[in-house]
Amino acid sequence: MYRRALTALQKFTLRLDVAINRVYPTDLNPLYYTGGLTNLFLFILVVSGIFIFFYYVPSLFEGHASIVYLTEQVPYGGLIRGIHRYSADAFIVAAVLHLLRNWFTDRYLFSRDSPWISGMFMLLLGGFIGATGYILVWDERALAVLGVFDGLLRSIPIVGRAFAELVIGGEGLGEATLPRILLLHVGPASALYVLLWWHYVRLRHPKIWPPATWVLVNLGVVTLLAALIPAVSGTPATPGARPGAMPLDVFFLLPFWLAGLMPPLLVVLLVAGLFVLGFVIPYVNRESDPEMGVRHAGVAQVIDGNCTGCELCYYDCPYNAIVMVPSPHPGLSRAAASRKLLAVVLDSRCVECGICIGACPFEALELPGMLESEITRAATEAVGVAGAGRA
Amino acid sequence: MNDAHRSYVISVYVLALVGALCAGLILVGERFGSPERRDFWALGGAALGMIFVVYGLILLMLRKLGMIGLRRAEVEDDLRGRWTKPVP
Amino acid sequence: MTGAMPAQGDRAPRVIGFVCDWAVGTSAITDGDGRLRAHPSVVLIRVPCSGFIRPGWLEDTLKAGADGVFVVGCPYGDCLNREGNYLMRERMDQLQRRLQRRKVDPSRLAMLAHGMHDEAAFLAEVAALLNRLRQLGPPPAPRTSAPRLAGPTTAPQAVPAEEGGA
Repeated sequence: MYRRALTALQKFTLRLDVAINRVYPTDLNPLYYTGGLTNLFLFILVVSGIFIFFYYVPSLFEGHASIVYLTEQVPYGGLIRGIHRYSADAFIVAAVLHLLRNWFTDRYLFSRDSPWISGMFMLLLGGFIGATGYILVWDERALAVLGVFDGLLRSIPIVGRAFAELVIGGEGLGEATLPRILLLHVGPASALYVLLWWHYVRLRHPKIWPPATWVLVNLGVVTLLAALIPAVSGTPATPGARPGAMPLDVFFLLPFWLAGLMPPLLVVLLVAGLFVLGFVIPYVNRESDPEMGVRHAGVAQVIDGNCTGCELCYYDCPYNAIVMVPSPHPGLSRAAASRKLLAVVLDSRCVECGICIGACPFEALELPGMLESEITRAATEAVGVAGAGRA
Repeated sequence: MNDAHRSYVISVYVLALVGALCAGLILVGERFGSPERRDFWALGGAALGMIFVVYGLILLMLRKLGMIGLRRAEVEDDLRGRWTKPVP
Repeated sequence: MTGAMPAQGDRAPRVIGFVCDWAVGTSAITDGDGRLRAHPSVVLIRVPCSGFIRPGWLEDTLKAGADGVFVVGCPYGDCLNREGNYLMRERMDQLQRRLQRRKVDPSRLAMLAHGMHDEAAFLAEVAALLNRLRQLGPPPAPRTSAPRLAGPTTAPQAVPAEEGGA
């Protein structure tokens, strides 16, 4: 049931690609760069965030006023604030598109669970950072969000109260609150870069940035939005006052809205449950082994006797699954006898793609399920079949 | 030059014109903007955003014209006898 | 070379295609033997990734009598294994240049890039390739004599080494 749904979603995703590729050259298809777009928006967030950081005062009395000062008095301050606000939404949109695309196109198999798991952590952290960002503005909505957040945390049994006090900076609202929230906003944002290292570590040539066209267009759209729909603060937060209606940001504040409809512990369990399901995804294969067919031909094997240590496979492997080690003994063939290095395949990182086999000029690599002898035999037979099929 | 190429070239000119206009609007925003007249700052900001978008689209048009490069490996050059389709 | 040979009646060129399993879906357009229904002289072989192909295999296929051979990978930018199609593209370039020195027309080798569900564009490009191969005519006859090898058995005066076979 899950498998059939996933296959249908894969078909939809790839059909969409065919349509998009009629308009753009394929290597400019924006959907191939969802990760790069997320990174772009993160970069914009960090730069605009640093600018805002210089003006923000994390105190109950000046928090709201400092942001209003930035928005209204500083030249283009409102623009920078708006850019920060809209890139945050764009970050979540791009991250979710990235998640969906990699999910629907099987890009989490074998050792690619590493980027997946780190990505789920980043999504979780990103959502948290966004929520704290809304609190920092310290308007009516911020107070409501903080209150709900406090309630959600306290609903967790045993540890809930400690977490809530950690976030609020004490037993209740006080002067320590906004500096604490600021720390919880900037600190995890920096931690995102550590998680990004983990995200990239198993990949060679990760696509970190989108092509120039998309960098510019997205930067421009975010700036346009910031100018045309200015981000404004609501009325200053007054603790104890009854909050009125507030605009909902669906990208970050959905759990907080849900908390108004159901018990807080249920919201916590729902969010936690979704993330647990997310962590499980890379370990549920959409296709069974026979269905994968040639794509599951076994981990690449180095034919020790032939390897000359030329490093071509090492440079071509997209997953850094081949390492060169000092050769413990000479090879068997003439070229391999004088080698200094030997290629070793790290099984845990190999995704069985066979690119190393194509790279090797010395027939020193094979996929167990698709040997060179089988390929050449199939090709010779195919020539015969093709001849028989001529008009 | 075929129809598609002609339309790309015209687009580049139009986009460049829009970009120049936006540059002018940024200057206007700078000149007349102040904390009391923030709509000029907003105008300048929108023009700045528009310039980024225009620049990105010009690059896209140039790419479709085949004038700016892609990875060398994909270019159909003389070796292939030019029998395959051009850059979309 | 091109167009100088008489057309070999209406015999369609024999073409072998190595198709990446993640690229264009072939189950709908081929019959049981791997022949394309639209062009029965084209036979497809599925491989795990376009980057899996060793250039030597393409050369061997031409030597086995194919008029042309192509590799199909994913659209550039969307290789499931991220770089396979770019790497194959570059290896194909090198192979074409090498074979050109041996008077094999580079159009006999082709690198295609089509995503799953893009059968229409793939078939169109195969048709264009077949047209080109028809224009080229049959491939040059394979070498019939063994190459002369330099060595102690030849005459003592300097003998230029022949271009070796494989």
